[in-house]
Amino acid sequence: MERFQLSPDHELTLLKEEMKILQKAGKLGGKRDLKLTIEEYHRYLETTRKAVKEALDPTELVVSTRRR
Amino acid sequence: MNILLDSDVLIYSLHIPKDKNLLSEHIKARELFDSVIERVNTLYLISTIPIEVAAGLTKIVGRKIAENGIEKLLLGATEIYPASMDLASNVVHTLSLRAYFQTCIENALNLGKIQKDEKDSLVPGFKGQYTEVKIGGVDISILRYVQLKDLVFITNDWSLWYISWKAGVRSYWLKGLARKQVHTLAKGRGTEFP
Repeated sequence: MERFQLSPDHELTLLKEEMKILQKAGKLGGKRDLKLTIEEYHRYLETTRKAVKEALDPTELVVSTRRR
Repeated sequence: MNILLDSDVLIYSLHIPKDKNLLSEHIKARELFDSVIERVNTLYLISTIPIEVAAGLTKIVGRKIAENGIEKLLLGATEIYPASMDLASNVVHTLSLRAYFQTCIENALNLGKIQKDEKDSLVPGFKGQYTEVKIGGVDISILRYVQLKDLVFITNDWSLWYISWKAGVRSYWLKGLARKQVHTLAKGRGTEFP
């Protein structure tokens, strides 16, 4: 069977489309316009105190995040 | 410094643990995350890490609070490979993904399992009864990214730390770090370890 090949123009179009998607996805990395402050982070941490107390077994859960 | 905090370190940084034995890890991780917010250190991640953090954190603090925590993490990170705010980086990442995966496989074959060096018996966390150290696929992909970006790597996983160290990466094991050493790292400076 003949191998399907893209024309250079088609490849360029796909690359441009991929860049657009990545630019949108780039929102995930470093929203520098929305600045996180230390105070905001510490306030959030305080909300975890109560939640942790109610967790079933928080000790076991944080020992490893990756099973191998 | 450009750093990568592993998912276990980030989970410690994103909740106050109930167990007093884990409090020390939380305080150290928190200081490191503070340094990221203050832009003293720049946080680089690969996409697997926020996923692991979301999965882990949801189990500990529940979905609503975990969602808030992940938002903080995403705000703090400069790059979540392959997505970046920098357009030029995005282009490079698009073109480099294939090479990245290829070298990940090479790393997996070379570093998936290594023999421990007896000369290292004095390093923190070294357990003499085990002669081999093994890491998994996700570990390999993180390690490869750290190598490509020449990042400083901080993990609480001893095996991953040991193999990274042996591979020549500037890496630190959170549990083995003294508070003073964490303080130095949080100021954007390297410290002697192990």
